[in-house]
Amino acid sequence: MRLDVIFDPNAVLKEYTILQEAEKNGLISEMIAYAQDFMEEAVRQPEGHELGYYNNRTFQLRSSIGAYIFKDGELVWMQGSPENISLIEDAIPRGLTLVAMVGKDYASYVESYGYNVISDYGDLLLFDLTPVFRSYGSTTSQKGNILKGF
Amino acid sequence: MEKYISSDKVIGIVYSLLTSINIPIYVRTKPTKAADDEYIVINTLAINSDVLQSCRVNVNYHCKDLYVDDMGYVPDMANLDSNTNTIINLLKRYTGSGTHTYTIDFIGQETFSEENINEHFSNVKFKFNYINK
Repeated sequence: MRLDVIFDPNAVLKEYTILQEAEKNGLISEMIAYAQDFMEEAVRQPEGHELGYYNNRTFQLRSSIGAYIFKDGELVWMQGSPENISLIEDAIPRGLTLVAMVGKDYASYVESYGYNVISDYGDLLLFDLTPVFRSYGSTTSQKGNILKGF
Repeated sequence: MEKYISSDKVIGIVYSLLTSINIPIYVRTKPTKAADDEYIVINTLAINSDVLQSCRVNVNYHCKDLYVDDMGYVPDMANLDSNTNTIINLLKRYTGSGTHTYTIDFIGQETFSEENINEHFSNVKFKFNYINK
């Protein structure tokens, strides 16, 4: 009996590509779950200065909150205001990118007075990627480019 | 949770670190009767209750605009710049000494206009972290 080992670079490359895709898809699912938590908290936060939150008078600030996931510059998932995409799409690097933002320029002014708009929920987007890499191997972890926050 | 600290305690700590600045410092809001040309207001967003407690701290340096004959009111750029730098240098990368287990990280800065009262203010943002053990 003889065992021949034939090295086929194309097959290896194909397998590597499949692993890369699986890992990226796993990451995207994970990112979506955290982004949804962020949106839930940011859009449905309480109102009232006495509680440390702004008063939602016009709904413009709250309705401009959004979360977006880009894969190699292409939008693959979003929740919230579509108007923000034009503000950020030119700055998206290659790889996987998660952006959570509020699309009104006065949001920072509101927060300067101590009323949370989205910053309190930024930590919801600091998540542990270890389980995803364990599931799929870390074939492309060094290539992942995940921006957390704002 | 016995060593849990409140956002008011955080403001007190930041206040104590800024006392070397010879400018009135107010907590949360400026008192209605105060009529200073320049002053600092410290406020925070909510603090969490995790083992690593953290919250955003705003240190706002307010400064009356200057009146220029041909132009009207303009921001006092020299004062805004120099006092912003003083605040940043006093607080950035601050690590509590002794038994204190907190750190302060500089996040960013923006200057806003308050046109109605001829004033600008520099909003210096920090993140306060405290190990609640």
